[in-house]
Amino acid sequence: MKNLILISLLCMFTGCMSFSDRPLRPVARSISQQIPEIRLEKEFAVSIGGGMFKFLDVITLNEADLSAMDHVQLAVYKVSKKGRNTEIDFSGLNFEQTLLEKDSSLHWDTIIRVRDEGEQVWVLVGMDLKKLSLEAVVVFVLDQDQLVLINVDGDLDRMLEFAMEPAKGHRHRHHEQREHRHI
Amino acid sequence: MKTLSKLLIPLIFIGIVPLAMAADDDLENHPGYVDFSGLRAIANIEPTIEISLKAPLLNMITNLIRNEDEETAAFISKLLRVTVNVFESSAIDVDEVSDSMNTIAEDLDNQGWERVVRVREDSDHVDVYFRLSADSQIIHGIAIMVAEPGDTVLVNIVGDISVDDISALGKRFDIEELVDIELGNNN
Repeated sequence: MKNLILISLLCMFTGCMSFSDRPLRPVARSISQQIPEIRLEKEFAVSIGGGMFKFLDVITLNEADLSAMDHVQLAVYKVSKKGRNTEIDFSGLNFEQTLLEKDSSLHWDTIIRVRDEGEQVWVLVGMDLKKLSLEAVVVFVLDQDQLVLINVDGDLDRMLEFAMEPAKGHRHRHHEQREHRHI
Repeated sequence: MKTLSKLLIPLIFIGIVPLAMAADDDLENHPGYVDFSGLRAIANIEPTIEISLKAPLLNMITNLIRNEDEETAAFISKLLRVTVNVFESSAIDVDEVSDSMNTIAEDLDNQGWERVVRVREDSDHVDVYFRLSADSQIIHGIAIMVAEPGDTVLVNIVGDISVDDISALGKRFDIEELVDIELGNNN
């Protein structure tokens, strides 16, 4: 029985996981096309499918509500630049255009950009304007000569609602405490 | 089918791009929009943190929270753009930034913006401005400029926010200062 469970779990996990950067390849290709002097070389990639999140929901008794996520994809690329100036600069990169290569059905918007010493971060959201829903979040992290791409897609509205729950509860609690103090 | 999609994609693109550009132009003409590019002291420095929430995302958030929190949703639905730029650099000359901020503040005064907060303390400068409608019932924009050694923060909120919306938001988040807010000449 134990072996059967282990085999089923193994089948489920391997079916839900892959170590290929294939889903993020159009993004990497678009970056290389827009900045031809750089070269991206995959160092590591992992893609986790919905089955894994459903399983995590089961074992956490739905506390995390992860089943709303369809995929989480992560890829790490080594960035090398040809020529004398080896400084890697993504400031000319059109991130929205880059992500249209991945999914042209969504409207992509950069919502956060952070420039730190040696590290830059871009956070983009992909929205379905017809449904007015958040469908994907993509994070680009450029750290020296390493580019990390993270893509999360699924029913992120549900995730957001879930994320807002504790704050909502907290506000009510704070209000109740104040009411109590007044009494 | 492939030929159809080949024809459709450029047509959709041709249709959407001018609309998107027109939306940006409209926003720049909105009375609540502030162009901070005049801050010459930071003109050559890129912001450390840039947050830009545009109408599609704001609409989506409105849609998302409407059932849960109608008052906050009503407030967010009136926003057109929220922009936050944070510059963190010891290379920024705070006096030069303050001078530029004074110039922008003067421009805002001349354009009919209402100064809500002004702090001038040592090398700390804070300016908060509201752009009100003629009857002072609608806030078209909020501009916040903060400069202190090593840090400059610029915020512009563009929208058509009513006093009732702010008051409701104050109630919702227990911010007493906002609950009884009164604006402009109606004070």
